[in-house]
Amino acid sequence: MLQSTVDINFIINLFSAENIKAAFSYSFNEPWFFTEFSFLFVFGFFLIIYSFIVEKNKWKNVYIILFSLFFYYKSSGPFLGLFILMIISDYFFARYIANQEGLKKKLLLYLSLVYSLSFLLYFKYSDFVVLNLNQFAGTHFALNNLFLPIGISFYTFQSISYLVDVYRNELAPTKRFSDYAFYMTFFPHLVAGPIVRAKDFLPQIASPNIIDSRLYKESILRILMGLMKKLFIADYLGKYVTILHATPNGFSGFEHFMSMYAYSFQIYFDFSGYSDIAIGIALLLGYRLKDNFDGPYLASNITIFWRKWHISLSNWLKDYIYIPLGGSRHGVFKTYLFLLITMLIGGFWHGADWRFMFWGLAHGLALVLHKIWSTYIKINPKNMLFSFLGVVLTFNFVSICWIFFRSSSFEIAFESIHSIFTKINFLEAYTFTMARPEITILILISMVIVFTPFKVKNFLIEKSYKLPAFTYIILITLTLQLIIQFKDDLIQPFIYFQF
Amino acid sequence: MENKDSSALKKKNSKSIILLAGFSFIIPLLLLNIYDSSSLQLSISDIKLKKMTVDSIDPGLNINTAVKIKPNLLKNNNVKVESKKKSHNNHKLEAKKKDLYLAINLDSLVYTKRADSSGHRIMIMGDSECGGLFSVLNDYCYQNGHELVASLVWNSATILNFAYSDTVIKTINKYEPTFIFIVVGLNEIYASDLKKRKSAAEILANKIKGLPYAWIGPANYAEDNGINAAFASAAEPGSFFLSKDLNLPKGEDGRHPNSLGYQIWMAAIANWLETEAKYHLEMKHPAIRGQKIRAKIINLNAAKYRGY
Repeated sequence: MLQSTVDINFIINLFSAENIKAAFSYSFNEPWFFTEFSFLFVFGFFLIIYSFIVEKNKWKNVYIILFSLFFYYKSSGPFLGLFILMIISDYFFARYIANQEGLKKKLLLYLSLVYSLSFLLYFKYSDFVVLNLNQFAGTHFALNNLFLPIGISFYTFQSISYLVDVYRNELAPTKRFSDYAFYMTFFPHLVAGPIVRAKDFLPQIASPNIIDSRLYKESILRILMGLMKKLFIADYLGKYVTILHATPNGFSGFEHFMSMYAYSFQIYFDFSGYSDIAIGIALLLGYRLKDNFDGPYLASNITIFWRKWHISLSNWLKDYIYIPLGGSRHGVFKTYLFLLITMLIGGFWHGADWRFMFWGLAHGLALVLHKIWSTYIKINPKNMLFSFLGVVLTFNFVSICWIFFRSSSFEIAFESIHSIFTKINFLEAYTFTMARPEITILILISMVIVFTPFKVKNFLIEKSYKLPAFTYIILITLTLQLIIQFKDDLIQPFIYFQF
Repeated sequence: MENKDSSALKKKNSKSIILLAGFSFIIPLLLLNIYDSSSLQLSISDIKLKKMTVDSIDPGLNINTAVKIKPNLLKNNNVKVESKKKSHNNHKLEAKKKDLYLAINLDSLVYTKRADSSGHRIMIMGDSECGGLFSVLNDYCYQNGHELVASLVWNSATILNFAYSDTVIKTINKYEPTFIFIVVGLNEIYASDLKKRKSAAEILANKIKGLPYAWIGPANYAEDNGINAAFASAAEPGSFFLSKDLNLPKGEDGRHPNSLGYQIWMAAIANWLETEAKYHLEMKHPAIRGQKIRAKIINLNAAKYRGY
């Protein structure tokens, strides 16, 4: 029955010269993401070859580096050259820095930082500078409309952390170029983090985790959860948010209110979904990346939120900006000032736009206010009522701030906030659920996932580990079909790819 | 050291598990591909199992707008009534001022010529300014018996993207519009390579030759280097609308009109289409705004998808 209806040319076409050539070429129209089925298919073949060389550490590392470079080429094409140039130069910079002392060492560090940052500044911020010069100084410079190399914000930060750690003598520079190349290029974290620290990752190169049945199950579950988060929840919610932001004046206050929550969940599931896939893929190869999210929307205050949201970036900003600025060593006022500066930089890192600066500033001010509050008012963290109120307050504050993150202009952001605060009518809730049943259900599912205690989640995960390994193939098939069933058109790029 | 590690791994790493992991991705994807290429149509109860191949034109941020959008309360014929009501806060006052301003602007536009009364399948494409215009155009379509079938919003795009990609042709073939709006140029008002831009504009004009269209120049707030002239010369005589001299309220970013600006802009375009444009189009001002959008919105970003 099946044979008679299947086009047998399919197999031949799948491995045709044209398809193989396309598989090895960069396509601007179809860059590789983890959510591309073509990537997952190739990754399957990659693993088969990997199984034969996994015991030969040297060959295995070379194999992963080559595949990582190929992955970056499929994602960013010609920018691979720039990436390689940066890896080579930073490797030598680190070695020179380690061999110097005093002023010369410091100068070398500054030189290397300026060099590393110059690429990021040029590609990400030059148009922003031109645009503002044209607007405020009346100049008429043409915009470059530069394409931002994918992952540049992430790998630049990784490279900076490596150079600074070597400078601080917290880390010895790698002796072998291949080790540094492995650390920088490792494809699971390459394009959108987590921002991996050399001191955490380099030791794993020599002694990765043992790949066994348990690790396989953990990895596959992570990848499937990531795919579901991204393709099933985030993308679907994203459609609604996009429609609203395209024509904000056509929607009621209640719609803006729901869109605010929809985007809060969208960005969380989009980025944490990506991180889950990245962590799962790395784990399948035997390398454990640190978690990037730890239930951030369960945070009972903004300080805790920043310990749980995009953890690798928060830690990076703390270690390489906040503490070098002075941290809390120079009195209360300067502590607050450094906090604000750090969050402003963090905001600007997300995008070359005043909106991101504003977003960073809002979070910075909230952190300062919380510090002041907690200096004078002591609350028992075990008090359930205060914890609950704290979670509600923090989640809503973060959600309002996300509006500036999502809107294409301040005008739309303020229009949306204005609608929420002045035009909202909660009686519309019923008509909303009737008119948008899918969005309502997805928001409810999101809430259940986000606000379910860890104990329950871990219990379910532990239960899944008891399934036999081969049943995971069925699980993957069902998940992929479910994604196909609900996704609309093609996959949307990850939100954090633009940063 | 390395040999020692390798030998340790040799004992514990499970080759069969890694092989299983590889096949865990290959087998499901092969199965889904086979199902995709077959003529089988599986279903569970009444739900058909979809296939992998998606009917889409481009990678990017595609969204389906077949959802209900609550009609906006902003109705021109309600402005006078609303303005009589007492307002208790500044925001409401501001909103009413805007509505009145819009009403005055709309009233000042006089129709002098009857237009083509047939209902059109309308497609609008362009850069970010198109993203602001399409919802307003949607209201005009409702009012005048047209159907907005597709909106191709290509953020940060220039004429080069529209000319050298096959996106325009694919979109036209897919949605079969009978009238096209082109809104492009904001991202190249300071362009100095006008020769190149003009030839790209000619390529785009050739692509849509045979279809009636309205080529809308960018609503730029600064003098351009000649991009409007380049586009005007490429478009068919009488089909280019010069927007740069319109006095449109600016948005926060200083580059785009605000929502009121887009409504005034569309009103001016509508007037032109009814009176002077080569391809006339029935474009009475809408009585109701914020109509449900049924068009397919294709949202692309030139920073991620150049198209050629």
